[in-house]
Amino acid sequence: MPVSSGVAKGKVKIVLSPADVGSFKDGEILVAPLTNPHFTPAILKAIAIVTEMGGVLSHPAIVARELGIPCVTGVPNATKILENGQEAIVDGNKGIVYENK
Amino acid sequence: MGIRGSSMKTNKVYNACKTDAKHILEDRGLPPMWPLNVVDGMWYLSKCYAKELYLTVKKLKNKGLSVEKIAKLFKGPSRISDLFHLDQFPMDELKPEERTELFSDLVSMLPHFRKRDIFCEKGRNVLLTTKEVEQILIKYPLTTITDNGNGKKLKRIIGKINACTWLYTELITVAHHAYGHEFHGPYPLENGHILVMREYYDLRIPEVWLFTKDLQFAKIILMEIYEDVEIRFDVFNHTESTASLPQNLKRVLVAIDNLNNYLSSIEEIEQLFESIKSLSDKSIEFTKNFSYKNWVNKLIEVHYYSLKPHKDILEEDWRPSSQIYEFIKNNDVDEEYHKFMGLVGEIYQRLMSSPPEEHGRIKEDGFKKLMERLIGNVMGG
Repeated sequence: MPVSSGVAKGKVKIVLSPADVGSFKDGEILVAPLTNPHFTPAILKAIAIVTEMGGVLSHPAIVARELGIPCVTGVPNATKILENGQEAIVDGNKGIVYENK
Repeated sequence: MGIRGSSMKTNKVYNACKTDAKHILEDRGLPPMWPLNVVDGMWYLSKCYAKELYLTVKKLKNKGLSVEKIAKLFKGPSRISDLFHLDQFPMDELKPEERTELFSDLVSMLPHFRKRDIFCEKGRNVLLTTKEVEQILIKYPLTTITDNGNGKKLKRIIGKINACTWLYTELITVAHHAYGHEFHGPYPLENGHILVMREYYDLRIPEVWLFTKDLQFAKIILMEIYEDVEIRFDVFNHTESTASLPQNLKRVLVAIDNLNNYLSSIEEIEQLFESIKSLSDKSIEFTKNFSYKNWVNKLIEVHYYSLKPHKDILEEDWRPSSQIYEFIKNNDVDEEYHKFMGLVGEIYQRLMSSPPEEHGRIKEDGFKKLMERLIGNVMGG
């Protein structure tokens, strides 16, 4: 579901728990089951957000619109299909995540 | 199910429950699950807090306070609306007429904040009159954001302040962010521009969160003027917009504690962001090993703390009693909880497994079932 507009390219970083937040780098694409306040340091560095759950009023959607970064929610198994370091394009206008080859 | 508007109280209960039912049915996916399922939180609140809330409001009314004065002690209408979620479980410690009176009072409080559309059904949370909007725009010097380097920098930092503070309030209110902010507007201006007011409050509450004691301010206020974007607020203060916000920000003012204490430079605004980020980091560190029951305790404390202004007038201690903590420690969600979650889960499952053209009918059916339950929890025996 497209919940915050814009298009961004970057490297994927899977964040499953706060333990993954410390290694999140500026400009990476945050991919998570869902975001929460314990992911704040990563959220503030992210160039885009992709989550497996959530709708237009969910937390990742609200926060992404505040930051002005693209966000796509409701992507089943995103944390398993995408891989750390993979180059991807997040299209928050269409609600699609592409591999950037 | 027939609720006929024979009495004002019945109508008010119906409208409160309808607001909650519609929210449950919106396309939000699952309810917030961090740090605990928000429905779990409502179960505990219905057992621990509903009676406290009722008695506090009752005592203040008996003391001669008007509903308006009691309302203003809550600081914002979204906090009051948030309490409609108590309808999700039977509030066993209250009689049906007491629960009805409580919900009727809560609805009666809203018009003392919201100038119209008290349930924000049209996507606006209107707290200021047109004249008040004109006056604050004249009085306070909003910065016009240009398209140059500093302008882009300012847009980015405002976006980060809003995102970081929102996430922080979500943490310290245990997913009841309506207890940490009141966003209101949008107020229409000339040239298709809109004014949005953001008020983040109770940021420093050492009585509940000790790590906040050194914060130099308790409130942040932003006045934001946007163009080319539609912004909507719902009754629980969620935000929806047709575009990302920073790109469409045209003018802004950032203030601390009150509008007269506004920040004059981009450096001061950047410093504010650093303060909020540092606070956010502390909140994460403080809660990183919290258990489920730790979070439940904090949820209850945040709600009891919201009654401190009321309790101060009554010269009573706002803190939850030791029996409340014992109840939380020794009790887990019960059959009523599983029945409610079963009902909601069934509706979501039907929506997810059906084509879009059937969603209207499923939601209508789900709404009837939810309303029967929610109204029964408030008005039933």
